[in-house]
Amino acid sequence: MADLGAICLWVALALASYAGVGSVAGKIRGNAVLLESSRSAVYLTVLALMVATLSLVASFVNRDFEVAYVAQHSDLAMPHRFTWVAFYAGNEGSLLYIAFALSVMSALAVWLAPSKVRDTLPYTIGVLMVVLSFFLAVMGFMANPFDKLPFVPPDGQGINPLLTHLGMFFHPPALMAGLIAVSIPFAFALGSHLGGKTGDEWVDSGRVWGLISWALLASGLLLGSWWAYTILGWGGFWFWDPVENAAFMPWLALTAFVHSIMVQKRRGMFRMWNVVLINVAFGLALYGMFMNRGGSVPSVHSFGESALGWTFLVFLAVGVVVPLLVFFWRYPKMRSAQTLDSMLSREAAFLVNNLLLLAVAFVTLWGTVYPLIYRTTGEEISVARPFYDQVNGPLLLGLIFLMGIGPLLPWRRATPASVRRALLAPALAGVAVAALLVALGMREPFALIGFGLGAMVASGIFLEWRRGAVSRRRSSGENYLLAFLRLISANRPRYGGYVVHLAVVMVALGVIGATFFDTQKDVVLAPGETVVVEDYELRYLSTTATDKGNRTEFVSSVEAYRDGELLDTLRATRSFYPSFNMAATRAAIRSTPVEDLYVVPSENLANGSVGLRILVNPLIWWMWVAGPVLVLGTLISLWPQAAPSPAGVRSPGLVPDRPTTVRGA
Amino acid sequence: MALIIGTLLALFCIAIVAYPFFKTRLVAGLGDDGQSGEQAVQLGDIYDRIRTLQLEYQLGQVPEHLYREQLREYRLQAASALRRQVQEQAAAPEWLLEQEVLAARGGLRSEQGGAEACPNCRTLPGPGPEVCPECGTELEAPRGRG
Repeated sequence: MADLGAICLWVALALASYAGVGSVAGKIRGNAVLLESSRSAVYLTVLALMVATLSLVASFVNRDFEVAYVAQHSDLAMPHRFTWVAFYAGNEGSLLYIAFALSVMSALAVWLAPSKVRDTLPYTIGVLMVVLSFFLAVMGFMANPFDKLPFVPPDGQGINPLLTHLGMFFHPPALMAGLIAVSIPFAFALGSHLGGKTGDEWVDSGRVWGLISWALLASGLLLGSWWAYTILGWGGFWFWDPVENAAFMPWLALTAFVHSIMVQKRRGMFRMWNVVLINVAFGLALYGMFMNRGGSVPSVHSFGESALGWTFLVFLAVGVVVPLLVFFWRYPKMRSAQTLDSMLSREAAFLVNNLLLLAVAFVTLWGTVYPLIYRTTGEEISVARPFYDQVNGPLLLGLIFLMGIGPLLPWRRATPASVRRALLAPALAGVAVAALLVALGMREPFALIGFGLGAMVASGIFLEWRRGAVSRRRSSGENYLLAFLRLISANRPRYGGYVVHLAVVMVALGVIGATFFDTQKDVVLAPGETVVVEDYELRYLSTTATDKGNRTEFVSSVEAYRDGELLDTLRATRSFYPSFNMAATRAAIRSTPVEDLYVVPSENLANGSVGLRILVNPLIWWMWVAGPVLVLGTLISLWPQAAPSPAGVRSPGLVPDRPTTVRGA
Repeated sequence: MALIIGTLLALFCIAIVAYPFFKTRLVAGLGDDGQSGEQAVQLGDIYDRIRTLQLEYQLGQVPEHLYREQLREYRLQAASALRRQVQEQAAAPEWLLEQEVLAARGGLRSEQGGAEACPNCRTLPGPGPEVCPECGTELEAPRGRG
């Protein structure tokens, strides 16, 4: 099977190269046959890479240790369910995964491309195929997952213990797919400009694929945080690790982009700005892949330093410089159709939101690259969490504030009176929540501002929904539920965005709660001993050791009491893997919407005592629940409205001079 | 075995990629299709903007004078896009054929007491209205039977 996989990789490289060159040449020469043939080649890359992927999966399932990659990332003791994780556990497999994901997304993007971009689609295909060819060439010449060993070892080295976690089934693939998916809106933008279309033609495709990429990255980041929280054993979820940052930065740029692109769609504004944003997002995504694949910063997330790092660095340089040159080439034609009417408008709020997002991205980038720059002086320095918290914290609060007022402002311009009317109730709700928390004894200013802003955002959204549903009910006689659902359905991008904003508020709740109000205690307990943490009394019972073949598993049982009442018996796990000479932990967590009780063993002593790290993390539950809400909101935003037909687009129906609703209801 | 399957796969890919070069009847003008689709999408965008404006007005976010001013502007944009679309369609041979069919149907409807099809958007308005309910174009008065 490995031979078949290797052949398919080369076939895919040939197809991608042909599709890229043929597509652009066909367009330049006006050769429709060459264009059609190139487009077929795009679709065929999916087939070739699917066979290559299945070949590698089959090699894992068959324990074909002659394949070096299989021997390095699995062993006989590895359960078959981890085959999917082992597939992308190393550089070679993850590259194959990225290439396959890109080929699928490219084929879908080409197939579903709207008529507006058909004229420049050959250039878009060219850009996509250059990116795909790069990954395939790297695999073919430098990191082939089908390379064979000169001998067949009796067993493999095994999968990295840290990867044997449910989160690993989704976190790396979501992040890798999200990073590479940035190529699609980028290719639509660059392809349009290469083809001389400097208007709004690419906006719809750019928005849809930008949202897909954004949602994949967001899901990947949240799942990664959950993985770190449950398995890394330090009780946190975000470390500002350089490789974490490398995925966070393109997400920030994409967040700016998916807002800004709506302004271009609605108003024909921010044309240049959107091109800049998607170029920045693409550059940061390439930077993320460079950091992850041999960048010079060691991390729990990276595959270690390798020659691949330099190859990716060169590609990163090309990926930044070429779009920049095209931007300057087309700059004179990229004037927006409209100008900003007023600073009291939704587009102005989006602009400020964009600037704040880019500021956070820049701060994060600076914190990530500064140690590398400093290293040239011969000394080492590290930029840690306090820097990011102090600089990014206020900026993120500013973003939440804008998230509260932006959606309540109309497009084009508002009057001070209408702004006052729209913002008064949410602002009062925010102030009321902050005042209530002060009355309850909270004194942390950042937390008070954060909770107040969260309340403002949430109440603004619920009030908008209520107003809309009441208005529909009055005009159509629908019941409230139907009116609400039809309201959402009638304007999916807007209300899907609201759902995503609610998810962001939930994440903010979790971050604020766990950052400002967590309690941590490190103790060593003998069997029968107790410790009190906050309201909880914890009694350590015993530890059992079990030989699991590739590891020795120590399970420590701890009873959790509150007010003398047994709440739960927590079983925290610490496993030692001799072949990796490392231990992996699995925290025992009692999770509620109010707080998490988190127990993780740090050491098992010979006398039966155990070292435990015990944390109480308020509100962090909301962070994990935000994930599905975020995905739901994105799906609502992406769900297509009925497509207009060329023969006749449905008008909005009766455009009432006087809406039937009562104003300000 | 792997070599055989791999070779077959490669040959299959070559055949699919080469197929357009040997087709007798080619799909021409890949880069030129979808002009009327583009017009439709533009019109759809303008209608989207109108819907958004209506929603914002209903939610009390836009005061009445701004609502009226912007609505008028969007209506003009929509009318202009509609005009371009109709002009484009009128240039197509299918349009002429459809016109003939509609004219014949219109004649039949007129004989039965109904109004003729709208000359602008081809909507059959049914008996009664003097303006097209779809695009607002003034219609000829319906002719009575006989």
